[in-house]
Amino acid sequence: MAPTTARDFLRAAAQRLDAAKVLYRASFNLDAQYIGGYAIECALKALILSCVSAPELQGILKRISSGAKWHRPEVLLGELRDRGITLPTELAKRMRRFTWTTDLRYETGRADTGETGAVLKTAEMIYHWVRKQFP
Amino acid sequence: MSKTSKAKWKAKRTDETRNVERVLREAGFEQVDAYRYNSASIRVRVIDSSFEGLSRVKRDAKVEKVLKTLPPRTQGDIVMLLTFAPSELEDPQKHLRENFMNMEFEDPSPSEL
Repeated sequence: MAPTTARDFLRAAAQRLDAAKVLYRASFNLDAQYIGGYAIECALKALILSCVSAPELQGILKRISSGAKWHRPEVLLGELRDRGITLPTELAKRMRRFTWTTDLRYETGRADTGETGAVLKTAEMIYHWVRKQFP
Repeated sequence: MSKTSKAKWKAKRTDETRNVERVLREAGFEQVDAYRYNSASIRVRVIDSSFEGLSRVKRDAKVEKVLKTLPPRTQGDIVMLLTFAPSELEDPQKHLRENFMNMEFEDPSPSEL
């Protein structure tokens, strides 16, 4: 079922993160990165929805659920900034190394273990930061 | 690289991003480009032959040392940092993800923010 609330997106983020960790432990690094990227997307979308008013909710939900650009953390962070929410500098620094795109779905092979660990750590930190922002 | 796409990102340069370019160039990096993508994001691309054969982590560490000297607000807005060795941009088939990221840098998707 498609998520409709901030809590739904946060739950999806948690599930993607758990799945990514399982893949990482099984050395499916590239796949772990691919799934882990969605954890960040879902967490940031949860945060956006958590700070919109009830009348705004459906419109914003529709907007952030349509169009490829809404997969991109940069775009989601822009939306949050315009709503007065800024990513802490430490997380911003981690995001600089985050080159995730949905095009990873076409990649094959095995990604670097250290790089994958860093991606998942970033995903986990973003998830926990978002959770703390929840009312 | 077409002239049109080149102009697209160049038009997004600001005084703040020119300062990022200046600081990194003064630190000795061969090619540095930066622009503001949206209210939360400054994109930085560093192309340098010293990155040849270095891991992503080691490249980033070299650049991060310099980024630390920027104003905190600017540091916090740099959420895309691309570090390429010149050879990686010569063969798109061999370095797919790098070239995809470079294409996005050169021809930024509309942000509408």
